[in-house]
Amino acid sequence: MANSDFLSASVISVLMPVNRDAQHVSEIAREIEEHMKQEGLEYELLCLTTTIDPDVTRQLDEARDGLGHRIRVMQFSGVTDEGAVLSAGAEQAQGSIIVTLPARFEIAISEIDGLIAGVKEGADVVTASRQNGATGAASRLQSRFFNRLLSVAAGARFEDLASGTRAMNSKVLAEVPLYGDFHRYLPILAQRLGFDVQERPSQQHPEAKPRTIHSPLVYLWRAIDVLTVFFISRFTRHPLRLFGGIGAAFAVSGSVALLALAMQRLGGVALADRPILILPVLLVGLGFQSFAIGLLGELILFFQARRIRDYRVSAIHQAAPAGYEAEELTSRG
Amino acid sequence: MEQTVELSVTVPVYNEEENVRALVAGLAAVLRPLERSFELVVVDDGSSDETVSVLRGLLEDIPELRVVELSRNFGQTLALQAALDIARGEIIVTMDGDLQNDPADIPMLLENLDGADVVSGWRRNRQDTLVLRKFPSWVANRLIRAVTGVPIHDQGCSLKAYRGEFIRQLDLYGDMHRFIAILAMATGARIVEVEVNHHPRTAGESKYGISRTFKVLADLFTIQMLTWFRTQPIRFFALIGTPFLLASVLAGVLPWILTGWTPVWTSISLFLALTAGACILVGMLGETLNEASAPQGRRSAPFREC
Repeated sequence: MANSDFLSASVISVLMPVNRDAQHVSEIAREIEEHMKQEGLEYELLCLTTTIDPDVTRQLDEARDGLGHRIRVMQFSGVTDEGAVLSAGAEQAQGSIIVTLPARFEIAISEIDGLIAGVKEGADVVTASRQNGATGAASRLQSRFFNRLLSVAAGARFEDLASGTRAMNSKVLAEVPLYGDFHRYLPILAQRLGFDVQERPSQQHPEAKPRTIHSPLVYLWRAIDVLTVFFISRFTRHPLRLFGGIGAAFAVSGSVALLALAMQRLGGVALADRPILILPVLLVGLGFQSFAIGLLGELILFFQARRIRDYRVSAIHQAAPAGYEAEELTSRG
Repeated sequence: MEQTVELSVTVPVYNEEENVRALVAGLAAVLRPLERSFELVVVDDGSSDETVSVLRGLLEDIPELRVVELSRNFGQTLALQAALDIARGEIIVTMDGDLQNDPADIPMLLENLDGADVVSGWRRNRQDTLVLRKFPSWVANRLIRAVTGVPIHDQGCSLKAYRGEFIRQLDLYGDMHRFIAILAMATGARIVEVEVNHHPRTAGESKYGISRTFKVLADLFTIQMLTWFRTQPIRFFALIGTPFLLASVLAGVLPWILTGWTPVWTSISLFLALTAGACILVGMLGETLNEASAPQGRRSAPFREC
């Protein structure tokens, strides 16, 4: 490995997913270089790019000229899945601490120190919680609403899940499966596996310009994300509890309505051409369909049982065999 | 290859700092005279008290002890799953860490394991509160016996002994550990139930509430569905779909014969037919999953050399 000579256990690997919007990669890379040099920290920067946009390529070339062997560019073709890209980057990363950084101005680069310090103090993930700065009131309100909603869905309180700046122990990315847009919710997923996740207030980058208005599709995706987080936090191991519950609610309400209509019919009210009759039938049918989908979920789990391990062992302690100097052997998970 | 032992006793514990010392000492005192190689696998389920420190302090005196630390509190069933995954014994005994199970019963469980795959404890003289523990448990056990036909009086008793090869082939996950007896019966295992002692809790706090009973019943329903239909899922979905199909035909034909065509009944008939079709399609998807999991997920029919 070309870089292995200068890399050591204390090296920090900075992963930066670079997409089409990334217009400041070289500036950010330069800031990282200056800051790390000033702090005397050894690091490597892995730019994970999914685009062949000429502007971005030029930015990456500029960054490469300035940083030499400390920068590696990983070009992914035919992949747009940022979660998969981050996982691939983490596999290549050689540092024991990984910092993820968006390729836009988000938090002041010096704030990374606090995140790294948190990991060195024992946390598994330390994520930046952006404090007031360049963000406008409308943006803050949106962000607060979204984070509160996600916190309720996940059953865990986070102030700023949208921030992409995080420092973590390298084993976190090896164990938390990331796909699609789910790297955004890494703190929730990691906490679910028993990792110690902390948030640290961080000042925003002076040039940060968070968008206030997003496209309607972004809001739709975020709403679906909230639903997904709710589901994966509570029901991935019990799909029938959710789908069966919804199905039972539909089927029972439909049955009650059917019974009421039947009573009316016995009382002499004609039924044949009353559209209201469609509703209870619809409810009962939907109820059973929801139930069937829940059972399908249970079957999937059952067939995959051998691969499912939802616990995480942090250490096994046992007495050392005779002849060992230490009295206790500890293997860490 | 990891070294095996003849017997593994597995105990999940959570905030039991007052009990673990007596528990481990009691187990060692019972197991050492058996003259079998053994290990005590105590899984700490993310305790917030000093349970792990107390256990580590015992390692020097009790070298058979292995202390497994989980990264957070995952719940009893996952802690038990960790214990079963880590245990290396040819025979595995499971029990609670609250000193309500009696280690002195273990030799008797082992004797009964000759000629059986599972020996399940029955706390006939259970020392718990009537309203919160004994009555819900009595109802749940009656229901489980009636629904599943598994002749076990006390599904909730943690004190059980298993043949290692048998328990490892069950591929348990999540809350399925509560229903090992039902799953075991479905694979043709030989189950024996024996009466065991049960002591009142003397230290620490109970972690169970009545809400657990409802979860257990919901999970029981799931397990029963899976044991009935896992080999041919399409049958289950056809069972749901067929009444909808029949109702669709009736809703389409009867009003037409009796009163003539009406848009309302036609709509109802169409919707019912669509529901039936959806159920069949989901069933086909279930069959596809079943087939797709065959190489790694399913084994040949379980059998025993006689």
